[in-house]
Amino acid sequence: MKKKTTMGKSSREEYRTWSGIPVKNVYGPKDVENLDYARDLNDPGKFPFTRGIHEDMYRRRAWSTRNLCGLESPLKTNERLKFLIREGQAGIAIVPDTPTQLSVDADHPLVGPQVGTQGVPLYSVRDMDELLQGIDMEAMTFSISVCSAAAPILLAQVCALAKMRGLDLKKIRGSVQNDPIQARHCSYDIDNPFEMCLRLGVDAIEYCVKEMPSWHSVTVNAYDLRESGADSIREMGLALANAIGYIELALERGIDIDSFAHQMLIICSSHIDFFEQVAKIRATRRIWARLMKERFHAKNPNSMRLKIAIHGAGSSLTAQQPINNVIRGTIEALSAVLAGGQALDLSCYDEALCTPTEESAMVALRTQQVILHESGVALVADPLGGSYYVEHLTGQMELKIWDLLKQIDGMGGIIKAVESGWFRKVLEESAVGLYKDIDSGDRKVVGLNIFKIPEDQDNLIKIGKMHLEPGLEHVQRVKEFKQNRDLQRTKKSLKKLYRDALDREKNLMPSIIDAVSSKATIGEINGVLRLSYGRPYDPYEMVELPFAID
Amino acid sequence: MGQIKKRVLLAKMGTDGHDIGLKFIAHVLREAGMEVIYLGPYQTPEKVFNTAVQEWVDVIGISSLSGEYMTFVPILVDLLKRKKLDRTMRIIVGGLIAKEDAGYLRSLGVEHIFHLGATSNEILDGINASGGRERSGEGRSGKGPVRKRGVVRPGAAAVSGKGPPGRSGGRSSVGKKPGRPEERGTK
Repeated sequence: MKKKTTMGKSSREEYRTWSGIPVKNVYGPKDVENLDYARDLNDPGKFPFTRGIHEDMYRRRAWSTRNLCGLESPLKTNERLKFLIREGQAGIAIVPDTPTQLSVDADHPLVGPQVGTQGVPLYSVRDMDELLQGIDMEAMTFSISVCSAAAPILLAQVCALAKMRGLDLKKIRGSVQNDPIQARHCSYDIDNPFEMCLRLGVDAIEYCVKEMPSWHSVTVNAYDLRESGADSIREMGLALANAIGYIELALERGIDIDSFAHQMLIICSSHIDFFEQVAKIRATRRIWARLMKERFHAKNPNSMRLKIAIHGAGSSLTAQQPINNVIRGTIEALSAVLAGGQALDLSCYDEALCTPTEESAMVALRTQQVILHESGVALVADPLGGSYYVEHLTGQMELKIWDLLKQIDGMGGIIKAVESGWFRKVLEESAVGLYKDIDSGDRKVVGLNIFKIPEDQDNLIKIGKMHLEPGLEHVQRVKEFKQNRDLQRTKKSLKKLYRDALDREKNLMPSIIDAVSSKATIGEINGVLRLSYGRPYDPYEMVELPFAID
Repeated sequence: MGQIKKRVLLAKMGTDGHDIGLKFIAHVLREAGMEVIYLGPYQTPEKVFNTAVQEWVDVIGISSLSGEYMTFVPILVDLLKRKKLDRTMRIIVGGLIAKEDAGYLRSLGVEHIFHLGATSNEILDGINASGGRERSGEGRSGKGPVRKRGVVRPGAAAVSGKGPPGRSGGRSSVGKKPGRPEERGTK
């Protein structure tokens, strides 16, 4: 069977979307004859929300334009944030550096070279305070891209800081990703006990229900699944399965579905395969609505309205002829907007090569602003709705995602599918397939495997320095922070956290917040939690907790 | 003079967790008939060195998408040199490697550097042309421990050939407390 994914061949050959759905030359009424408007589409703002979660979509509230940001030190990042806010950015999106994501402190002997090079260091409540210096926490939505067990700890830093500033937690709006299943497979997670990660994740859900009603306790991270090789079907299928996993764990604790379902988001990728992106996002809203209503018996329409944040696909960018990434970003932003997303951050044109510069971050923001203010595409809700092709493809995506969900249910649910190794296997198969296609040229990427130009002539745009210098000054500051605190108080709070963690029934958020307020660092908190689960304090097994815990 | 199967260790050192590229390389090398020991991310130079010796590999492939290679590759080279294994086990480095760092890495003895966009054929050719054992016994010549086939450490479950290259493979450390690499900046 001939497989083609790109144009340029005779129309008799078979073409497919990137996920392998066959694509015909043209679509007509026959392709949507099973579609029932009221059942499958309905008006925007109405169940099953295929056409969008709000009646008047972007006229009421434009999507949140933002840029993922995280540099060298909290203060440097704060400067960049203020620059982006001045330039019209509507929300704050932060990416922590890799040691923070791994919950390892900056003074750990192995991580020095990575402090502040790929994100902002957030080891303590002081770091969080410096990051948000001069920024009104009640006025801005604040999203932190962290999936692993570091997510509940960073959430605790936000809570501790809000309390320090005398703010009302109920008014703080934002999100952490808090998606430990995904973190285990495609983000940062070294050897933390799975049981512990899941517990902390659900603790955060439970805590937000009570204390932070305007905060999104879970942002299921479909994006990183896609970046790890999944196609659109697996991206959304696995992400929804993860969401179901967290929902079931929360329900087991007796939490009412309508008290937390609306605090869950999905962040997905907007990749270069334009129509498939639109279709997958529309299909995912429809599936979510039906899941909530039919499987989890939610009553509140807000539980059925899935908010989707979208990130322009980093993996679609090329290091070759990087100026072309501006065009890729534009296409990806357009599909995100036409699909009705709630927040959008684009990858910057230099992101395949370096941490984005101020210039590239500005272009990414301007791309969105041109689409919002000039192009007119945001004036009408779901403007592609009713297109024979888009509706057909939306239906196909939905079917295939349901199939995947059924398959996972058949394995006993997503936790079992993780434990059996199935999850990892599926991701790896997808990744290998994808890279084989690029390697062989079956999947064409301009500048990479077609229309290449010699490297010395590739001067279309200036690129920043590939690797930033590590924030060694910050390493020193973390050391000093640890020396200058009231160590007795810190120890006391960590010991309490340890004891509470041994009681497997207890919600750990209050004691983590207390530890953060007592100036315990992310590495110490994670280490103590690991100890309570019988693991070594340091995941690299190089350092020990400097005092006895029990 | 035909070469026997190359044994290749693949790892990432430090905190960089992006290993999709490395997994694909593992797949390509296996398809080409090489034996792959997949250690995955979050390794220390000591763990990589110990596994390389234990598995007696021909090539150590280090992937890096962060600047950490400038800290950890020199430590790894040093460990090999101290045991006089630097001619026996060749290091190749791939990923997001700055052009201005390439000369320094080569001066350390890194045999190949593969930048973004390198094709799998280029990587295979590079590894095939790398030093290592040939049938004549050159490069092995009785030195070093004889590789014991079938003796697989539990931590390196994903070792050689068929096992799925999992991140958990190789997590359990070879040598419980590896020494602390010096903390230094890039260059």
